[in-house]
Amino acid sequence: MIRIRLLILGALLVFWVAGCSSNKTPIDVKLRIANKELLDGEYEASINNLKEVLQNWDSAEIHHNLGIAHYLNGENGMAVLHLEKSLKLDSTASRAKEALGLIRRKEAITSPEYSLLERLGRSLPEELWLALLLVGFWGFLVFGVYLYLFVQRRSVYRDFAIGSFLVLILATIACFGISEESKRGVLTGDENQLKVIPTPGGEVFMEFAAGEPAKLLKISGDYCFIQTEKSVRGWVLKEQFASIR
Amino acid sequence: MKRFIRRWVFLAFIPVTLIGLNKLEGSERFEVDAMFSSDVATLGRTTKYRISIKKTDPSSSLRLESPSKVEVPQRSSFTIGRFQTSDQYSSSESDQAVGILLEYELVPKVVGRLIVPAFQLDYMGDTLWVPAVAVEVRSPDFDMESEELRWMYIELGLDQKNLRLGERVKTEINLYVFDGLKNVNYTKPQAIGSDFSLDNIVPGPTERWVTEGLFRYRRYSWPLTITPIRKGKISISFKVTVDFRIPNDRLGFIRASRNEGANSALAIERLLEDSSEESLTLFTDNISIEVNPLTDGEQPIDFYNAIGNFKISADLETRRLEVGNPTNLTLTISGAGNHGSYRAPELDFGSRWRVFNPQEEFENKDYLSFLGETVYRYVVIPLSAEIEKFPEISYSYFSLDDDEFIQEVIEPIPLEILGDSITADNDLETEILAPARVVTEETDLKDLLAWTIGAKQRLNAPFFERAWFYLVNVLGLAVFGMLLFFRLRVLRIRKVPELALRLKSKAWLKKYLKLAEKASKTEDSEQFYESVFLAFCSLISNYDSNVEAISVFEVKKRVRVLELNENIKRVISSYLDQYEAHRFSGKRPDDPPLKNEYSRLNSIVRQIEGALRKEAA
Repeated sequence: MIRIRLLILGALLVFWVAGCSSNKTPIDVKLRIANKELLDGEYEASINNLKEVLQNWDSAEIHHNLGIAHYLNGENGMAVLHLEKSLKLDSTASRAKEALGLIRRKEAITSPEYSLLERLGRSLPEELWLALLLVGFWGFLVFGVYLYLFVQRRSVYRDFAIGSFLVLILATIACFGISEESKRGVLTGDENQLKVIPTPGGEVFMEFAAGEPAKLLKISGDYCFIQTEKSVRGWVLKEQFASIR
Repeated sequence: MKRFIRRWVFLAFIPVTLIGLNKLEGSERFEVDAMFSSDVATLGRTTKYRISIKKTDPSSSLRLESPSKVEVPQRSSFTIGRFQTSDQYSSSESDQAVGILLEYELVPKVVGRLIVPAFQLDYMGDTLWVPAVAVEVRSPDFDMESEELRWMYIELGLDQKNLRLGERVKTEINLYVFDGLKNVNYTKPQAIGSDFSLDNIVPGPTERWVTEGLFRYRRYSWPLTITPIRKGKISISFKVTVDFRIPNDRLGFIRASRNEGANSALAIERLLEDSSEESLTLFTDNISIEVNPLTDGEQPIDFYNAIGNFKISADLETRRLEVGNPTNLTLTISGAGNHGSYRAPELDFGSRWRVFNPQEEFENKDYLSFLGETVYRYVVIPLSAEIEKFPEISYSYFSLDDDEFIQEVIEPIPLEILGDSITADNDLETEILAPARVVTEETDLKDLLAWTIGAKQRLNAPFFERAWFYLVNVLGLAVFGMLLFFRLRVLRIRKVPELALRLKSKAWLKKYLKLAEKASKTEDSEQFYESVFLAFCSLISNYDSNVEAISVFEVKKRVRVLELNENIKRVISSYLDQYEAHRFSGKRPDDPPLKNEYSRLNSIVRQIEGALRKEAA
């Protein structure tokens, strides 16, 4: 009986290990295949392969390659979107920056200009701001409220409480910046027509090229209300706008 | 029959002939004319109806008389008011009047064409025929929309019909304000729409007087520059808001303004005494312009968005350099175009040079940033002793004159470099000749491909938009709240001794009730009644004394004064008696079904608690 159980367990372990290795290999291989296709000029096939990889493996590198593939396939909007995503996942990715710079320069696409708050939010990784926010909040409650007010009025508690409070304020401001930045997206349609009202017959008052940055303000039905870098506000079709997050 | 017709025709001609002769006779001495002071009158406002009688021969010695009153035919469409006469002279030196002017104040009563009919006038023995005269009567509201006079308007002086995307255009907005309007205040012209950007505009307009048709205007001119920011068909228009003061008698004001001289100024001043403040927003006509991209093909790699007609020059601070020592490279872009909208060239001379981002200075030569000179100052450091020339610099701009990209090339500058290299001198020639390295081609993009899958990540909504963030913090807050609650309780107990005693007695009560319950289950009457007594002691001590120091007597005494049912008091007393009997006489207490007694005890305890609370309150 014990032997049978051991056999079953062993078989399961083998299947699990095999499953793990078989999952990982195809992603690597698919990425190489996609890159090869891209180098050979088979952009559509490369995009499809990269999208498949992305379903199982979301990473800055995959978005980066997908951005380049889309660009070479003539889809500037999607190219900018994926390269922005790549940068969002890895803000130190110099290759993504370089590729984005080239695309924007060549296609005369506006670069996003971040506000002071957004720049503060981007200055540190989001996880670090989260940690600082929690440290600031709980530090202030524990040291300032509990220990200093209800246990013992020691100057060390007070100093920790003040420090925590300052960190809390800074992290809160940064969170506003992160929130603002999270509204950013890219116009992905070929003809991104800005309308006065969100209806099919709405008057088109401006048209933007694919890849132009914009901020999502609200959604109504099939339309998104956006603000472009030039502070122009209007409605575009949902499928013509994609959030970076 | 023929004779009959001839006779009647002859008779019919007699009066006509007589009138004609009469007129001919009058016309010998006087010429008569009738007119209104203006072609347009306003409903309900006085206008002047004039009859001019002039001598046919101005040199004749005939002295003209001023009639006391001349009857003008009355009509329901107008009313005739005051009448006055004045003499007319041929020159200021003449002492004899050549004519006489009869002037009536006439108030129109209907809008439309008003006609004062022709009529006969007896004057100095002559019968004069005054011709009919008409005037256009308009409603008072008509003034501001008058076709003849525009109180004010604006014009945009833009003749081009085709522009390039990003091209800066110099133009002018002119505001025309009818001369004589007072307290004129205007806003700066504002661009309408988002097809173009208003780049620069002079802070204040230039002012001059101009005559447009019959009217004189003050013209305010704002030179400005605009840039189309969208390709395709765009429309350009501006608006200006003007506040001004205007007399309520607008026709009188126009008339007074048209009569030049001191009297006119006085009349305007007088009219302005009855005036009102008005505000108008004026719009220029929509000018449609076709905007084309700079090119349908590729832009040069050294194009940094400069559009216009420029000259580019560069100079090094010194030609004798030392490795590692910085020097200034000055790049100057001068001419007319979109200054401020183009970028500095990105210089990358390879590993032999270190180039820092430039400082930018702009000299505005026309207050509009259209004509000017931009100077970029780069700090460059040579890193190799093998350098012989400063590398070539190229800069492309889109020439509006030539309608194509023009590449300006700054030739390599010979240099003398001192010191030792601080960088490897590989591939010297290629580095020297290589232009600024920017990723430009598809092949370069392909070089940037990633070949590893990288770390698995996910782009989620920001942490503060996720539920777990709030869940964790709410849970933490709950724990913190509990901690705070217990801490506060401890502090309160420390501060209030009665509270400590009350809590202690509650704990005892709980303990003794448990013992009583246990005794009731085991039917141990001795233990039960002792527990009952101690439970009562705990209850009594709740508010005043210590539980160990209370006697049966004290319990009974305390119970007696409490607001309790007499039956309950009796039961309590029996419980205490049972306890005492056992304690002091060794008599075994009664052994009723103790489970029932225990439930009764619980009820009694609750009632005593209630009574004690009531008493304390």
